[in-house]
Amino acid sequence: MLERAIENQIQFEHPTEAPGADYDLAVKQFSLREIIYRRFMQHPLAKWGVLGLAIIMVACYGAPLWHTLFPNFIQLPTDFDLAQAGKGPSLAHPFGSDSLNGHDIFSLVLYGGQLSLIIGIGSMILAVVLGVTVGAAAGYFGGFPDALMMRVTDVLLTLPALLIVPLATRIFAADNPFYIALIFGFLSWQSIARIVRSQFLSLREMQFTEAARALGVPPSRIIFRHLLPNAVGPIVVAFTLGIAGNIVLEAFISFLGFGIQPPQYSWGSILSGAEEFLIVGNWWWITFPGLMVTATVLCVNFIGDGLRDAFDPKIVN
Amino acid sequence: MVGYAVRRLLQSVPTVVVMSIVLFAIMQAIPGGPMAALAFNSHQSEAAKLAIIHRWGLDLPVYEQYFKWVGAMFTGDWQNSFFLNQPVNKVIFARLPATVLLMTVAYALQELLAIPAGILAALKRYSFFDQFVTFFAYVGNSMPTFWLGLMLLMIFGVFLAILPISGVIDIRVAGAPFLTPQYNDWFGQHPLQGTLDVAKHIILPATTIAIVGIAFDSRFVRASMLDAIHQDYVRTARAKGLSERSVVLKHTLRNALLPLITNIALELPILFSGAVVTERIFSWPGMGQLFFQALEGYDYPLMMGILFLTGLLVIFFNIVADIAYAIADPRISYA
Repeated sequence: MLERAIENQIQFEHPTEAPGADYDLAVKQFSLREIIYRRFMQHPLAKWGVLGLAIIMVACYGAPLWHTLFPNFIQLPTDFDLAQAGKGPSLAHPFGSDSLNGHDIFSLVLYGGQLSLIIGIGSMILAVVLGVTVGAAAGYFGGFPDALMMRVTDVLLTLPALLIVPLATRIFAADNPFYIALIFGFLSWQSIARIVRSQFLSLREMQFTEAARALGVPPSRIIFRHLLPNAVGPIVVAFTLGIAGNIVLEAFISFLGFGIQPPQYSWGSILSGAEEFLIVGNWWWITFPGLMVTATVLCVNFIGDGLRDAFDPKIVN
Repeated sequence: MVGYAVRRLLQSVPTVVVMSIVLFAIMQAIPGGPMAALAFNSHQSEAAKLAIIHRWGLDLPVYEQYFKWVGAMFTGDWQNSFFLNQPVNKVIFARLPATVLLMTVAYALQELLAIPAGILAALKRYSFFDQFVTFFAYVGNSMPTFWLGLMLLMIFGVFLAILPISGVIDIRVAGAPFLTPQYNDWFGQHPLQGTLDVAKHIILPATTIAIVGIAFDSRFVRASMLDAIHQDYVRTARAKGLSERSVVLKHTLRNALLPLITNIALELPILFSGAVVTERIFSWPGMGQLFFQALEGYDYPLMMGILFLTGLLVIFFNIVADIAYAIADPRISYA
């Protein structure tokens, strides 16, 4: 909007001259991508979310490197010291040690983040693939596939994921992170499918779609080249917020012992067994991994909100 | 109106059918199917296993099994729980009141705080209070419910030791578990003491659920209030010279709170999930705790019963919300 205004003003002041004809005055034209980027950066919290998440990811995925640099400070998940069991935070163990084996919780949090983050992101990638496929088919073709899909998403929205996920991990005896991400993905696609469907329902009636159809463009090309790019915004937002939701869900499921199990560590499985020791005052074991989940999810939510504002066509500066 | 209600009920029939198919499929997906659960004892003879399989109709074609199962679910024969050895519906309905109590108190607490907070935040936009509500909403939305519950339990139950950390009543005072005939007798004799006891136990779990809900709802009310404030009829009301109080209470608020009605139905699964988590953390004897017990004991009839009932309740409340919305908003036509 601002760019247009500047342009008009220039033309108003020099009505006969084309801008930039005899002096160098270039009015920058912004591409859609640049506008989205600028809006995202204008969001007060989104860039801090990106920074925070980047720090967390570097800290977690760099853990093997930190271990080689500071072998005593950052320990391998397989290392533990029974003499340290149940000790509170200290300089050597900033997050304390767990009360069963004496693992350093700070190291576990770093290594555990690797699984938690990959499960959150991986499951939502699967959910986007499934949701876009189903939603696009339902929204573009309508009729029976649409009706069937709506009923299935209704049901998946009806049954609380919190009950279905532990049931599924138990049924498939899945303590493997890959299967857990798979189960999470299969239970998270329905909201994306709904978003894509509703976008497609309106987009397929638009004139550019009609023009493409009149030119004989096949449906698959219309869907992927003409319709899908217009629905990218809401999909990206749902993807981001879904990552946050699945990180939290994984933490709960593994905390209960239905997901990742020690000696494999995620932010949830670090906490399994911590509950009993809470009563005797071992506050650090629960507090720090939980704070890490909260911080990560907060960053992801900031990014999600920033993306929502950036992609929202209704908001103009 | 009645026509709309009937049509809405009929529309939910396919959803219920698909739900029953999904649940049946889940049951079949258990490795070895329901057969494994029933005939898993390796000491049984082959003939005994076959007898069990035949008795439960597990040798029938899958679709016949499905119709038998659906028929049984709708006629109220929900089988026996494996480890409690009681009819599943009896077990569930004994646990339902505790969950409903927790959800109701949590929801009331949540709305009592979220609605005024959202309205004030919208009226004093960008003020310190608004920023605070936004901050609270972000943090509340990002905290895992179970962790929040554990933190509250740790602070108020362990370190300050001012609130009980588990259960719905103090069994040493009441002398019997919650809602048993003996307990009901005792409650009849000591209504005040009994209520206070439950109230003391419900504070922590209800607060845990409510904090997450407040985070979501206060933002929702704020957005819906801001939307209403900028409508033409509000400008008209101001132009007529009505007092700010009347503009806010009569013209803005009524319209702003309308979407909250549908929100209740959408939030019900979230509320229920919250209850499931907090019941597990605070050993609250409700459906959520029962579900995890069933899961740990591989008690499939009980799990299916809980999932079926949960699904039915959510679908039912969706219909109720739709009808309530149609009554509240005259623009919705239900002809």
